Amino acid sequence: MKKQRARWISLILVLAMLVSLAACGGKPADGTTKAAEGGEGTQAPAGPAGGETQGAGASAAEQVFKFFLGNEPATVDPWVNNSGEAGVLVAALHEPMLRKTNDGQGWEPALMTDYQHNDDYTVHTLTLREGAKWADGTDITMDDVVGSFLRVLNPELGSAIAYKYFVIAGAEAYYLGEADESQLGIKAVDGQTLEITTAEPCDYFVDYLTAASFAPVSQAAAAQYGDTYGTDADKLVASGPFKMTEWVHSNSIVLEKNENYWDAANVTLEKIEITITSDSNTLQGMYQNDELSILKVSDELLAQYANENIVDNEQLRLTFIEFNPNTNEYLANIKIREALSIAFNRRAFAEQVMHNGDLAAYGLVPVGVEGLNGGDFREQAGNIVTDASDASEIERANQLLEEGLKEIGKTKEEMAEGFSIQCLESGKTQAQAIQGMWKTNLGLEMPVSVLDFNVILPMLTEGTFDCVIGGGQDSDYRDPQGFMQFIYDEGKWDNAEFKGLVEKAHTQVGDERIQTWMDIERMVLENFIYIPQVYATNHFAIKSNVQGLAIFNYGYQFDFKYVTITE
Amino acid sequence: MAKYVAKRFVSMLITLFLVATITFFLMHAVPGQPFEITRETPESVKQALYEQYGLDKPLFEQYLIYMKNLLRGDFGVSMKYKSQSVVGTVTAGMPVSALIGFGGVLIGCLIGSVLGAVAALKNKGFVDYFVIVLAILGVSIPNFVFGSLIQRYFAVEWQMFPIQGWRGWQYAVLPIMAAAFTNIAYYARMLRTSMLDTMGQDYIYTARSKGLGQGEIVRKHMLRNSFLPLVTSLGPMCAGVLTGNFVIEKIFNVPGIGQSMITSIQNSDYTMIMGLTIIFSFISVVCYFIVDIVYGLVDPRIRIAG
Repeated sequence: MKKQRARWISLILVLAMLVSLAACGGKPADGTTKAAEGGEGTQAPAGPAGGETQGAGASAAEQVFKFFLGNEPATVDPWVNNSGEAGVLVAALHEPMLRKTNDGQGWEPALMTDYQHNDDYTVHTLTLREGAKWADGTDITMDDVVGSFLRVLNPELGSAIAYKYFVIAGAEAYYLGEADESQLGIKAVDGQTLEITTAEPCDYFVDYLTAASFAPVSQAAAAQYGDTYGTDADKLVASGPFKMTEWVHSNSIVLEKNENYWDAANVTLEKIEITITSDSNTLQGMYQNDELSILKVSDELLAQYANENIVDNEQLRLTFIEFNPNTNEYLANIKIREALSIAFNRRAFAEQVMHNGDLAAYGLVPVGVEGLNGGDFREQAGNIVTDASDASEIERANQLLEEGLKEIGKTKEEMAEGFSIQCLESGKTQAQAIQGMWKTNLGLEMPVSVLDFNVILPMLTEGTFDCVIGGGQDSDYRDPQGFMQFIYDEGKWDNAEFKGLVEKAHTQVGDERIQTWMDIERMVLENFIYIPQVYATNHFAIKSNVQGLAIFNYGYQFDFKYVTITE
Repeated sequence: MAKYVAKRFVSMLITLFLVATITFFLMHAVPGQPFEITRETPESVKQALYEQYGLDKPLFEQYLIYMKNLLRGDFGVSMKYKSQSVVGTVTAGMPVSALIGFGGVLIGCLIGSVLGAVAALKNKGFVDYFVIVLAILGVSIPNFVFGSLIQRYFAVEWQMFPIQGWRGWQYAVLPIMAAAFTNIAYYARMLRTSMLDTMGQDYIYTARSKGLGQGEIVRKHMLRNSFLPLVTSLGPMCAGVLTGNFVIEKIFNVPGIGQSMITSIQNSDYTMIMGLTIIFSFISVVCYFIVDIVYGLVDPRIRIAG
């Protein structure tokens, strides 16, 4: 009897050990089979036992959208927030001046009913909607609009994004206390008409007007809460389709429909439940049990969600390798830089790291930015750099490397010891992949060193790095300038022709301006300091009962206004 | 006793002062700042931000200002999450962490002690091997594996408990289970070793030769003596409980205090790092102090003199 019991318990123990072992090693495999089992019916994998955790079940048409954030937002103040992720909440709570259309291409009236500009895009005139109200029922006035600009340009607010408003004439001087309100390019012509003057011609200014960061805040609330505006559920007054009713810090947020919203009639969603967690297992489990309407799927997990409704969202974002020619003797040689650029096989890299070869970047500006005559910039500018995906190029790379090394009188062995490849923890796989390509194609093996963001950032801005992999550039507006201006601003590249071209572009509009940026792009790329890697892309699994969710590739990522839950 | 308490109190203050000072300078030696700076941030804005946060002043002056506020009992407000004060964060998060932590310790201690005691009494028997295996599992399976595992089965697959969140008692079950697991293994192993040690002592033979029954020997002599190391470990354990468990809180998305410390360090949130460090150190010191006194109650031999 006793023996038998002992045998049973030991069996259980062995099982327990096996299960825990499986948990250690076999996670992805486990998931794959699950998706396969699900087949067509993956929408309802929960089975009959569903009721316990979440009372949803029967009434599928309940207008609740279940969303997630990876990190606790520091604030939802449009004028202070600098997190792309939190921008989604900002735009749901605060009505932007204009709203992006759901396809992300155009704009539709929002807080402003009309937008006009002069011929050279320096004066932008907007008409404030009559009768628009804050969530507390008070009117949204021109004072709120103008006051929002004055507030962010006051250094006392401590907004880390104040510089984004320097696009407005006189804004920087006002921020520095060198100009007064009358010199600022923000004027209320009358109670309904706002005139914004930009510091220079700005034909992409509409992308500022649709941004969450240009959504006015109530001046009464701003005065009351100061720099804590937007940091708690009761410290903000909404103007957008939703208002915040609960914020359990670092845990969850609840948004509910704002009945005082000017277009409330067209908002069907009643509630948005937001879970704040970065634990991917937790998020996947929630999605499986219908506790999330949307899930961000990483490149590695894509196969596992093959049967789900997956939306690919190509971001206006470029990652690149950056060389430092100023302090590193090897990288000071342009032939060596070009050799390294060629030996980096972008296509293979994009396939390996992102499982999609088409994301390989052969230019600085991603697909989706307007070019000449309303076409696509990237298509028109074409592939500018070449690389080892064309096998004959490898020979040329080796030749360049040899010549370059001869010029500076060094050997490959010395070069491999001469510098290290620097990257963030998140870019380690990328760096190792590139390290491997340089080794196979050129016989050079530089070490990879992983650094903290706060260590790498000053190295980049002060120019004390050697070779940084995985750096990125995205833009709040769909314009080539957003992907190259930073090179000029950082001032590390002291080249008169380059500087002249950038300055010229800032005086131009339309196709002329675009053409100048095309020239600048070619010039930058032919100097082999910024070596494009890939264009970024996100994948989202979305439940089939979600309709009307807008996903954008620049600025804030989602618009919930027109979301409806069907079935 | 009063003299002892007074002495401990003074040494506690010195400890806290040293902790605060060292943390302050170490924290500022780490690169980073509480607000986000990107490659695009112009110098003028950076400058204004440093001034706004008072970080443009010499470090020692910042230190004096902080210490002065601290003496007034003002721990300040988070530099990153501006509506969250240090004290508010602690009072909101600590009870949650404490519930999960003490739940875990209590269950772990109860089950663990019983298992450990039985294992020792039935040395080399089945329960003994069970405890040994359990102890190895408990120590070697990290929390994030066990936590994710029970989440996967109890919440996602069988839907007995919620996956994550904090809206009622049922939300505490899985986190407590996760917290208890390591504790069961830990206490079982500890009590087993301690009991085996005690069993070989001369006074047990004395008790036996006196003619005491097995039950009485176990209760009066063995257990009491075997619990000593357990009591010692309770002090730091309690401090650990109050300061939260980052991994469990993250997996089950529980708004405890464990996450606050980690995120504040990631954010270079100076006031929050300082405040939490000082409060956590205070708790540790107090817990050790209490253990010292309890120690005396359990074992009269080391009752504090004076």
